[in-house]
Amino acid sequence: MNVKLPEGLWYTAEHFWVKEADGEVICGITDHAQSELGDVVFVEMPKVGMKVKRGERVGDVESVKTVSNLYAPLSGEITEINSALLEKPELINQDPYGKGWIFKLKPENLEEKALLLTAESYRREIGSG
Amino acid sequence: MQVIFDPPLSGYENMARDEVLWEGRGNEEELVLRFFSWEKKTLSIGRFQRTQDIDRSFLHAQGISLVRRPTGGRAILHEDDLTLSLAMPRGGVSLDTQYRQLKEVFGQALFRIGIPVDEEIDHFPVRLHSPACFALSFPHELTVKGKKIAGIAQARNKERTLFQVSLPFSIDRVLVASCFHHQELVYTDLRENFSALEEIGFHHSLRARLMEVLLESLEDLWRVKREEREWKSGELLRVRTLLEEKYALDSYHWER
Repeated sequence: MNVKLPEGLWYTAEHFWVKEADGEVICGITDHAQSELGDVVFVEMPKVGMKVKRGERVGDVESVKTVSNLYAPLSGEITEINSALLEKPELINQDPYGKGWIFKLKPENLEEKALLLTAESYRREIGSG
Repeated sequence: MQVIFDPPLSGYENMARDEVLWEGRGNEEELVLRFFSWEKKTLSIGRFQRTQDIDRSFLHAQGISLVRRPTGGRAILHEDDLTLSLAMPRGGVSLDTQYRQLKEVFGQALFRIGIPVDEEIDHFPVRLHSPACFALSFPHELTVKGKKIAGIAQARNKERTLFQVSLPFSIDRVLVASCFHHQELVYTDLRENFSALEEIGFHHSLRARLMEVLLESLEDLWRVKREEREWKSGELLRVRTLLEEKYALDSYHWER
Protein backbone atom coordinates (compact mmCIF):
# COMPACT_ATOMS: atom_id res chain seq x y z
CA MET A 1 0.00 0.00 0.00
CA ASN A 2 1.51 3.28 -1.06
CA VAL A 3 -0.10 6.13 0.88
CA LYS A 4 1.03 9.72 1.17
CA LEU A 5 2.14 10.67 4.67
CA PRO A 6 3.73 14.11 4.64
CA GLU A 7 6.41 14.72 7.25
CA GLY A 8 5.79 17.64 9.58
CA LEU A 9 2.17 16.69 10.23
CA TRP A 10 0.84 14.83 13.22
CA TYR A 11 -1.54 11.89 12.98
CA THR A 12 -4.08 9.98 15.07
CA ALA A 13 -5.04 6.32 15.19
CA GLU A 14 -8.47 7.46 14.01
CA HIS A 15 -6.86 8.52 10.72
CA PHE A 16 -6.80 12.26 11.18
CA TRP A 17 -3.88 14.50 10.28
CA VAL A 18 -3.10 17.65 12.23
CA LYS A 19 -1.03 20.63 11.10
CA GLU A 20 -0.03 23.52 13.33
CA ALA A 21 -0.68 27.01 11.95
CA ASP A 22 -0.64 30.30 13.86
CA GLY A 23 -1.75 28.95 17.22
CA GLU A 24 -4.42 26.78 15.66
CA VAL A 25 -4.39 23.37 14.07
CA ILE A 26 -5.81 22.37 10.69
CA CYS A 27 -7.31 18.89 10.59
CA GLY A 28 -8.43 16.44 7.95
CA ILE A 29 -8.49 12.74 7.20
CA THR A 30 -5.41 10.98 5.91
CA ASP A 31 -4.72 9.72 2.43
CA HIS A 32 -5.00 6.19 3.83
CA ALA A 33 -8.48 6.94 5.22
CA GLN A 34 -9.79 8.54 2.04
CA SER A 35 -8.43 5.67 0.00
CA GLU A 36 -10.17 3.13 2.18
CA LEU A 37 -13.46 5.03 2.19
CA GLY A 38 -13.64 5.42 -1.56
CA ASP A 39 -15.56 8.26 -3.16
CA VAL A 40 -16.70 10.67 -0.46
CA VAL A 41 -20.23 11.90 -1.08
CA PHE A 42 -21.02 13.92 2.05
CA VAL A 43 -19.28 15.42 5.06
CA GLU A 44 -21.06 16.49 8.21
CA MET A 45 -18.77 18.93 9.99
CA PRO A 46 -18.86 20.34 13.52
CA LYS A 47 -20.25 23.81 14.16
CA VAL A 48 -17.87 26.74 14.52
CA GLY A 49 -17.54 27.66 18.19
CA MET A 50 -18.19 24.11 19.34
CA LYS A 51 -15.98 22.97 22.22
CA VAL A 52 -14.70 19.45 21.73
CA LYS A 53 -12.73 16.93 23.73
CA ARG A 54 -9.99 14.80 22.23
CA GLY A 55 -11.48 11.60 20.86
CA GLU A 56 -15.03 12.99 20.87
CA ARG A 57 -17.19 12.46 17.80
CA VAL A 58 -17.36 15.71 15.85
CA GLY A 59 -18.97 14.70 12.59
CA ASP A 60 -19.29 12.04 9.93
CA VAL A 61 -18.03 11.35 6.47
CA GLU A 62 -20.15 9.35 4.05
CA SER A 63 -18.64 7.53 1.12
CA VAL A 64 -20.03 5.09 -1.38
CA LYS A 65 -19.08 2.31 1.03
CA THR A 66 -19.87 3.53 4.53
CA VAL A 67 -20.72 6.22 7.03
CA SER A 68 -17.70 6.75 9.25
CA ASN A 69 -17.55 8.87 12.39
CA LEU A 70 -14.98 11.67 12.71
CA TYR A 71 -13.18 12.18 16.03
CA ALA A 72 -11.48 15.30 17.37
CA PRO A 73 -7.69 14.83 17.36
CA LEU A 74 -7.25 17.37 20.18
CA SER A 75 -9.42 19.17 22.72
CA GLY A 76 -10.30 22.73 21.92
CA GLU A 77 -12.68 25.01 20.07
CA ILE A 78 -13.66 24.68 16.42
CA THR A 79 -12.71 27.97 14.76
CA GLU A 80 -13.43 27.31 11.10
CA ILE A 81 -14.82 24.62 8.83
CA ASN A 82 -14.03 24.00 5.18
CA SER A 83 -17.32 25.06 3.64
CA ALA A 84 -16.04 24.10 0.17
CA LEU A 85 -16.66 20.48 1.20
CA LEU A 86 -20.39 21.12 1.38
CA GLU A 87 -20.44 21.52 -2.39
CA LYS A 88 -17.40 19.43 -3.25
CA PRO A 89 -16.88 16.60 -0.76
CA GLU A 90 -14.69 14.91 -3.37
CA LEU A 91 -11.91 17.36 -2.44
CA ILE A 92 -11.16 14.95 0.40
CA ASN A 93 -10.29 12.29 -2.17
CA GLN A 94 -8.51 14.63 -4.53
CA ASP A 95 -6.37 16.56 -2.06
CA PRO A 96 -6.70 15.17 1.50
CA TYR A 97 -3.84 17.25 2.94
CA GLY A 98 -4.69 20.45 1.06
CA LYS A 99 -8.07 21.57 -0.23
CA GLY A 100 -9.70 18.62 1.52
CA TRP A 101 -9.00 19.89 5.05
CA ILE A 102 -12.09 19.59 7.27
CA PHE A 103 -11.84 22.00 10.20
CA LYS A 104 -9.54 24.26 12.20
CA LEU A 105 -9.35 24.01 15.95
CA LYS A 106 -7.80 26.15 18.70
CA PRO A 107 -6.25 23.62 21.10
CA GLU A 108 -6.95 24.13 24.80
CA ASN A 109 -4.29 21.80 26.09
CA LEU A 110 -1.01 21.70 24.19
CA GLU A 111 0.20 18.78 26.29
CA GLU A 112 -2.19 16.59 24.32
CA LYS A 113 0.11 17.00 21.33
CA ALA A 114 2.33 14.37 22.93
CA LEU A 115 -0.45 11.85 22.26
CA LEU A 116 -0.38 12.41 18.50
CA LEU A 117 1.58 10.15 16.18
CA THR A 118 4.48 10.99 13.91
CA ALA A 119 4.28 10.00 10.26
CA GLU A 120 6.46 6.99 11.04
CA SER A 121 4.31 5.87 13.97
CA TYR A 122 1.15 6.27 11.94
CA ARG A 123 2.71 4.32 9.09
CA ARG A 124 3.31 1.45 11.52
CA GLU A 125 -0.25 1.83 12.85
CA ILE A 126 -1.75 1.27 9.42
CA GLY A 127 0.77 -1.39 8.47
CA SER A 128 2.04 0.50 5.46
CA GLY A 129 5.59 -0.23 4.36
CA MET B 1 -22.25 -15.16 17.47
CA GLN B 2 -25.39 -13.93 19.14
CA VAL B 3 -28.52 -14.24 17.02
CA ILE B 4 -31.70 -12.25 17.58
CA PHE B 5 -34.96 -13.01 15.78
CA ASP B 6 -37.26 -10.02 16.06
CA PRO B 7 -40.98 -9.90 15.22
CA PRO B 8 -42.26 -7.33 12.71
CA LEU B 9 -41.57 -3.86 14.12
CA SER B 10 -41.91 -0.25 13.06
CA GLY B 11 -39.08 1.26 11.06
CA TYR B 12 -38.29 3.55 13.99
CA GLU B 13 -37.95 0.65 16.41
CA ASN B 14 -35.91 -1.37 13.93
CA MET B 15 -33.38 1.39 13.39
CA ALA B 16 -33.11 2.18 17.10
CA ARG B 17 -32.46 -1.52 17.82
CA ASP B 18 -29.75 -1.68 15.16
CA GLU B 19 -28.08 1.43 16.53
CA VAL B 20 -27.98 -0.10 20.00
CA LEU B 21 -26.30 -3.23 18.66
CA TRP B 22 -23.85 -1.05 16.73
CA GLU B 23 -22.98 0.91 19.88
CA GLY B 24 -22.34 -2.36 21.69
CA ARG B 25 -22.05 -0.56 25.02
CA GLY B 26 -19.96 -2.74 27.28
CA ASN B 27 -20.02 -5.51 24.65
CA GLU B 28 -17.71 -4.06 22.03
CA GLU B 29 -16.35 -7.47 21.06
CA GLU B 30 -19.77 -9.02 20.53
CA LEU B 31 -20.83 -10.23 17.09
CA VAL B 32 -24.60 -9.95 16.77
CA LEU B 33 -26.78 -11.00 13.87
CA ARG B 34 -30.35 -9.74 13.92
CA PHE B 35 -33.11 -10.88 11.58
CA PHE B 36 -35.94 -8.40 11.45
CA SER B 37 -38.99 -7.37 9.46
CA TRP B 38 -41.40 -4.49 9.13
CA GLU B 39 -44.91 -4.14 10.46
CA LYS B 40 -45.84 -2.00 7.42
CA LYS B 41 -44.29 -0.94 4.13
CA THR B 42 -41.33 1.28 4.94
CA LEU B 43 -38.93 3.30 2.85
CA SER B 44 -35.57 3.38 4.60
CA ILE B 45 -33.16 6.09 3.51
CA GLY B 46 -29.44 6.62 4.08
CA ARG B 47 -28.08 8.49 7.09
CA PHE B 48 -27.42 11.64 5.08
CA GLN B 49 -29.74 11.15 2.14
CA ARG B 50 -31.70 14.20 1.09
CA THR B 51 -35.47 13.83 1.07
CA GLN B 52 -36.08 16.35 -1.73
CA ASP B 53 -36.20 13.47 -4.25
CA ILE B 54 -38.91 11.66 -2.30
CA ASP B 55 -42.61 12.11 -3.06
CA ARG B 56 -43.92 12.61 0.45
CA SER B 57 -47.56 12.84 -0.58
CA PHE B 58 -47.31 9.53 -2.46
CA LEU B 59 -45.85 7.84 0.60
CA HIS B 60 -48.62 9.27 2.74
CA ALA B 61 -51.34 8.18 0.31
CA GLN B 62 -49.92 4.66 0.15
CA GLY B 63 -49.42 4.37 3.91
CA ILE B 64 -45.67 3.95 3.49
CA SER B 65 -43.51 4.98 6.44
CA LEU B 66 -40.16 6.67 6.04
CA VAL B 67 -37.21 5.99 8.31
CA ARG B 68 -33.60 7.20 8.29
CA ARG B 69 -31.04 4.45 8.77
CA PRO B 70 -27.86 4.83 10.84
CA THR B 71 -25.98 3.50 7.79
CA GLY B 72 -25.25 5.19 4.49
CA GLY B 73 -26.51 4.58 1.00
CA ARG B 74 -29.81 5.27 -0.69
CA ALA B 75 -33.47 4.40 -0.29
CA ILE B 76 -34.91 0.89 -0.07
CA LEU B 77 -38.62 0.06 0.01
CA HIS B 78 -39.06 -2.79 2.45
CA GLU B 79 -42.09 -4.73 1.36
CA ASP B 80 -41.15 -8.34 0.64
CA ASP B 81 -37.53 -8.71 1.67
CA LEU B 82 -35.29 -10.50 4.11
CA THR B 83 -33.65 -7.85 6.26
CA LEU B 84 -30.84 -8.43 8.68
CA SER B 85 -28.17 -6.53 10.47
CA LEU B 86 -24.74 -7.56 11.58
CA ALA B 87 -23.01 -5.60 14.34
CA MET B 88 -19.41 -6.51 15.01
CA PRO B 89 -16.05 -5.24 16.18
CA ARG B 90 -13.93 -3.56 13.52
CA GLY B 91 -11.21 -6.02 14.47
CA GLY B 92 -8.40 -4.02 12.94
CA VAL B 93 -9.33 -5.03 9.42
CA SER B 94 -9.93 -2.67 6.55
CA LEU B 95 -13.28 -1.62 5.23
CA ASP B 96 -12.65 -3.53 2.01
CA THR B 97 -11.75 -6.66 3.94
CA GLN B 98 -14.96 -6.52 5.97
CA TYR B 99 -17.01 -6.13 2.79
CA ARG B 100 -15.18 -9.02 1.16
CA GLN B 101 -15.72 -11.22 4.22
CA LEU B 102 -19.42 -10.42 4.21
CA LYS B 103 -19.73 -10.96 0.48
CA GLU B 104 -18.03 -14.33 0.86
CA VAL B 105 -20.65 -15.35 3.45
CA PHE B 106 -23.54 -14.31 1.22
CA GLY B 107 -21.90 -15.84 -1.84
CA GLN B 108 -21.54 -19.21 -0.13
CA ALA B 109 -25.05 -19.09 1.36
CA LEU B 110 -26.69 -18.22 -1.93
CA PHE B 111 -24.64 -20.85 -3.75
CA ARG B 112 -26.04 -23.45 -1.33
CA ILE B 113 -29.54 -22.60 -2.46
CA GLY B 114 -28.64 -22.59 -6.11
CA ILE B 115 -27.98 -18.92 -6.73
CA PRO B 116 -24.50 -18.31 -8.15
CA VAL B 117 -23.33 -14.83 -7.18
CA ASP B 118 -20.96 -13.10 -9.61
CA GLU B 119 -17.26 -13.00 -8.85
CA GLU B 120 -15.79 -9.80 -7.43
CA ILE B 121 -15.39 -7.16 -10.09
CA ASP B 122 -12.28 -5.04 -9.65
CA HIS B 123 -13.54 -1.89 -11.29
CA PHE B 124 -17.24 -1.87 -10.69
CA PRO B 125 -18.89 1.12 -12.32
CA VAL B 126 -20.13 3.45 -9.61
CA ARG B 127 -23.45 5.11 -10.38
CA LEU B 128 -24.50 7.78 -7.97
CA HIS B 129 -27.32 9.59 -9.69
CA SER B 130 -30.32 7.72 -8.30
CA PRO B 131 -32.05 8.13 -4.94
CA ALA B 132 -32.96 4.41 -4.95
CA CYS B 133 -30.46 1.87 -3.64
CA PHE B 134 -31.37 -0.87 -6.07
CA ALA B 135 -30.95 1.45 -9.02
CA LEU B 136 -27.31 2.05 -8.11
CA SER B 137 -24.07 0.18 -8.35
CA PHE B 138 -21.31 0.53 -5.79
CA PRO B 139 -18.21 -1.57 -5.26
CA HIS B 140 -18.72 -4.86 -3.38
CA GLU B 141 -22.24 -5.40 -4.65
CA LEU B 142 -23.87 -8.82 -4.56
CA THR B 143 -24.83 -9.39 -8.17
CA VAL B 144 -26.18 -12.22 -10.28
CA LYS B 145 -25.53 -11.97 -14.02
CA GLY B 146 -24.50 -8.38 -13.50
CA LYS B 147 -27.66 -7.34 -11.69
CA LYS B 148 -27.76 -6.31 -8.08
CA ILE B 149 -29.76 -8.60 -5.77
CA ALA B 150 -29.13 -7.06 -2.34
CA GLY B 151 -28.64 -3.73 -0.66
CA ILE B 152 -25.76 -3.57 1.82
CA ALA B 153 -25.20 -0.43 3.86
CA GLN B 154 -22.54 0.19 6.48
CA ALA B 155 -21.61 2.52 9.32
CA ARG B 156 -18.45 2.57 11.43
CA ASN B 157 -17.55 4.11 14.74
CA LYS B 158 -14.24 3.78 16.61
CA GLU B 159 -14.83 0.24 17.75
CA ARG B 160 -17.60 -1.33 15.74
CA THR B 161 -19.17 -1.79 12.34
CA LEU B 162 -22.85 -2.11 11.51
CA PHE B 163 -24.00 -3.76 8.28
CA GLN B 164 -27.65 -3.56 7.28
CA VAL B 165 -28.71 -5.88 4.48
CA SER B 166 -31.88 -6.20 2.43
CA LEU B 167 -32.53 -9.13 0.07
CA PRO B 168 -35.84 -8.59 -1.74
CA PHE B 169 -37.79 -11.68 -2.73
CA SER B 170 -39.93 -9.64 -5.09
CA ILE B 171 -40.13 -6.04 -6.20
CA ASP B 172 -42.91 -3.81 -7.47
CA ARG B 173 -40.77 -1.50 -9.61
CA VAL B 174 -43.64 0.86 -10.32
CA LEU B 175 -44.37 1.25 -6.61
CA VAL B 176 -40.69 1.79 -5.74
CA ALA B 177 -40.20 4.30 -8.56
CA SER B 178 -43.37 6.14 -7.58
CA CYS B 179 -41.84 6.95 -4.19
CA PHE B 180 -39.59 9.45 -6.01
CA HIS B 181 -40.22 12.54 -8.09
CA HIS B 182 -38.14 11.29 -11.04
CA GLN B 183 -39.98 8.01 -11.24
CA GLU B 184 -39.26 7.21 -14.91
CA LEU B 185 -35.50 7.37 -14.33
CA VAL B 186 -35.69 5.28 -11.20
CA TYR B 187 -37.92 2.72 -12.93
CA THR B 188 -35.51 2.38 -15.85
CA ASP B 189 -32.52 1.96 -13.55
CA LEU B 190 -34.36 -0.64 -11.47
CA ARG B 191 -35.29 -2.59 -14.56
CA GLU B 192 -31.73 -2.56 -15.90
CA ASN B 193 -29.73 -3.00 -12.71
CA PHE B 194 -31.74 -5.09 -10.25
CA SER B 195 -33.11 -8.63 -9.90
CA ALA B 196 -35.34 -9.78 -7.04
CA LEU B 197 -34.74 -13.32 -5.75
CA GLU B 198 -38.02 -14.59 -7.22
CA GLU B 199 -36.91 -13.35 -10.62
CA ILE B 200 -33.90 -15.65 -10.45
CA GLY B 201 -35.85 -18.62 -9.20
CA PHE B 202 -35.87 -18.35 -5.42
CA HIS B 203 -39.32 -18.07 -3.90
CA HIS B 204 -40.39 -16.19 -0.79
CA SER B 205 -41.68 -19.44 0.74
CA LEU B 206 -38.04 -20.50 1.19
CA ARG B 207 -37.31 -17.57 3.47
CA ALA B 208 -36.49 -19.78 6.47
CA ARG B 209 -34.12 -21.83 4.29
CA LEU B 210 -32.29 -18.66 3.25
CA MET B 211 -31.89 -17.62 6.90
CA GLU B 212 -30.53 -21.05 7.77
CA VAL B 213 -27.93 -21.11 5.00
CA LEU B 214 -26.78 -17.64 5.99
CA LEU B 215 -26.28 -18.84 9.56
CA GLU B 216 -24.45 -21.94 8.34
CA SER B 217 -22.15 -19.89 6.12
CA LEU B 218 -21.34 -17.49 8.94
CA GLU B 219 -20.49 -20.44 11.17
CA ASP B 220 -18.35 -22.07 8.49
CA LEU B 221 -16.46 -19.07 7.23
CA TRP B 222 -16.09 -17.00 10.40
CA ARG B 223 -15.67 -20.03 12.67
CA VAL B 224 -18.33 -18.90 15.13
CA LYS B 225 -21.14 -20.74 16.86
CA ARG B 226 -24.62 -19.33 16.89
CA GLU B 227 -26.32 -18.62 20.19
CA GLU B 228 -29.85 -17.30 20.07
CA ARG B 229 -30.61 -14.64 22.62
CA GLU B 230 -33.26 -12.16 23.67
CA TRP B 231 -32.85 -8.45 24.16
CA LYS B 232 -31.28 -7.38 27.43
CA SER B 233 -33.20 -4.92 29.59
CA GLY B 234 -30.37 -2.37 29.37
CA GLU B 235 -30.42 -2.57 25.59
CA LEU B 236 -34.18 -2.01 25.47
CA LEU B 237 -33.82 1.00 27.75
CA ARG B 238 -31.26 2.42 25.34
CA VAL B 239 -33.64 1.71 22.44
CA ARG B 240 -36.30 3.77 24.23
CA THR B 241 -33.84 6.63 24.68
CA LEU B 242 -32.85 6.62 21.01
CA LEU B 243 -36.52 6.59 20.03
CA GLU B 244 -37.19 9.61 22.21
CA GLU B 245 -34.05 11.44 21.08
CA LYS B 246 -34.48 10.97 17.35
CA TYR B 247 -36.06 7.92 15.77
CA ALA B 248 -39.62 8.59 16.92
CA LEU B 249 -39.40 12.19 15.73
CA ASP B 250 -40.80 12.74 12.25
CA SER B 251 -38.50 15.74 11.85
CA TYR B 252 -35.38 13.58 12.26
CA HIS B 253 -36.24 11.52 9.20
CA TRP B 254 -37.33 14.44 7.01
CA GLU B 255 -34.88 17.12 8.20
CA ARG B 256 -32.43 16.92 5.29
